[in-house]
Amino acid sequence: MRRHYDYIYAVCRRVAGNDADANDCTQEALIAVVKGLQRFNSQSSFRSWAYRVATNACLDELRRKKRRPVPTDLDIEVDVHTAPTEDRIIVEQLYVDGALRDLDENFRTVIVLRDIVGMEYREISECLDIPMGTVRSRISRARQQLMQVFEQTGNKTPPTERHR
Amino acid sequence: MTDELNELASAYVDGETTPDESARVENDTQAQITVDKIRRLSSRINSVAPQQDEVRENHIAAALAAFDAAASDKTIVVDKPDPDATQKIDLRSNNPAPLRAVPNEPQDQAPTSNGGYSDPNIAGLVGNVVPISPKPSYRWLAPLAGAAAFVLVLGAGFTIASQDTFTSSSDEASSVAVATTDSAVAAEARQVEQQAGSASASDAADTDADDQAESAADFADEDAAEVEEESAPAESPAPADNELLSFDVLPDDAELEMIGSNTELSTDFQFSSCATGANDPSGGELLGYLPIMVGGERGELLVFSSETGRRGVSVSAVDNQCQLLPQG
Repeated sequence: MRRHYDYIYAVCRRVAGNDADANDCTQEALIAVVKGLQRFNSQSSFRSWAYRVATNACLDELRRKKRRPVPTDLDIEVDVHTAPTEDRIIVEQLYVDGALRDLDENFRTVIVLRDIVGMEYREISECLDIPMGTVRSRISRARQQLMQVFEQTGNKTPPTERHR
Repeated sequence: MTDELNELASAYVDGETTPDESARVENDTQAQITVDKIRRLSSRINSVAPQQDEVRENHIAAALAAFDAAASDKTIVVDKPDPDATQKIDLRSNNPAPLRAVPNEPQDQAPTSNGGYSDPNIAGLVGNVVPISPKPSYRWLAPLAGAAAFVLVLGAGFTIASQDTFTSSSDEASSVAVATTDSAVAAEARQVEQQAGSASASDAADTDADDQAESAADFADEDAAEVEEESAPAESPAPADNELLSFDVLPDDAELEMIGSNTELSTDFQFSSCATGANDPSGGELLGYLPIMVGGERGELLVFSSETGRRGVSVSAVDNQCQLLPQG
């Protein structure tokens, strides 16, 4: 459990979009995983199964709260020369949260499983029970949308990105 | 740039393209620019601040408590406010009894009051480390053990009695063999002496003596063979403690005790992780109930003993995760 915790939390954090919901989602996800262990079919990948359960639990928790990720204001001006590192990190989090928030849930899930957990397309396909071709196209479309969002707010990109 | 090329660039970043598709992306300047953008994008998404240690531990404790509760009829034993009494509460209840923090192990961090969770059950579990018994109680085991002991004693007595009877029979058979052999020698001597005389009596005595001697010899041979068989070393000597025996099916509630492995395990509650790179057999003890998750590397073999004898438990390694399974 400790081995998977950080990834499950990161998935929930990105899917939920804020710390408060991410904490609740993570708790629900962990409980769902341990309670579902007896139903786990040992013939399949445990990782795929665990993240499927965790992702679904997180999405259910968000639906139960009838809450989408909390909107964040991207119109934040940061002085790239004077802003402390911590501030830049927080602003970066807000940018990413805001961009992911605007994604469709299906797109958000695949991109999170790919870029945070590092799942292969085959694993994501098993995890979400969708064809691999769908995984590939959803990831691509999600990335295009995210890149558009970041390009629109490019002047507010944190200095670590802008001056790379 | 077309959607198709975007998709190819995206798949290329993820290493999910065929050689032809990879070559196509690498030969397209625009696709290469997109590849760089996607890599930066992925890096930004991937950067998630780690969870606070205290919240992390609370999450794990609550999940383990839920697991234990689910494994014991949805109830957990907690201390009531009255320190002298304990009670069982139903996790499904909306109004659980007030819980009191009773850590079962020394903890580095004191639990918080409610962990910030709205669900009262979860909040209670998070805020209170529930004393979890790592081994479910099997009350039916006591009478079963008694019955097994009785059967064992009965069987041992029967075995001893059988051996005594068999020994007596063997002694008698040996006596018969000696006697009949002597009779045969005597009969043969008489036959030589008498030669042509008393042919019928001699033939009868010879026949009887031969038959008896033959029977006794056969019995003695069988006896000797059995004795030899008993004294001979077993074909399958007892294996070493850390030798993997077989992949037998284990019952779901099998109590397993780890007696050897080719890696080193930590024994944190029922969930443990394999420390990679350790090759020496570990004598650590891991008590748990299936299913047990053990993180580890592919190819690890664990040997467990159970109430019904030593059993091999295969480690199914998938993507560097391994899980103990009840069968190979």
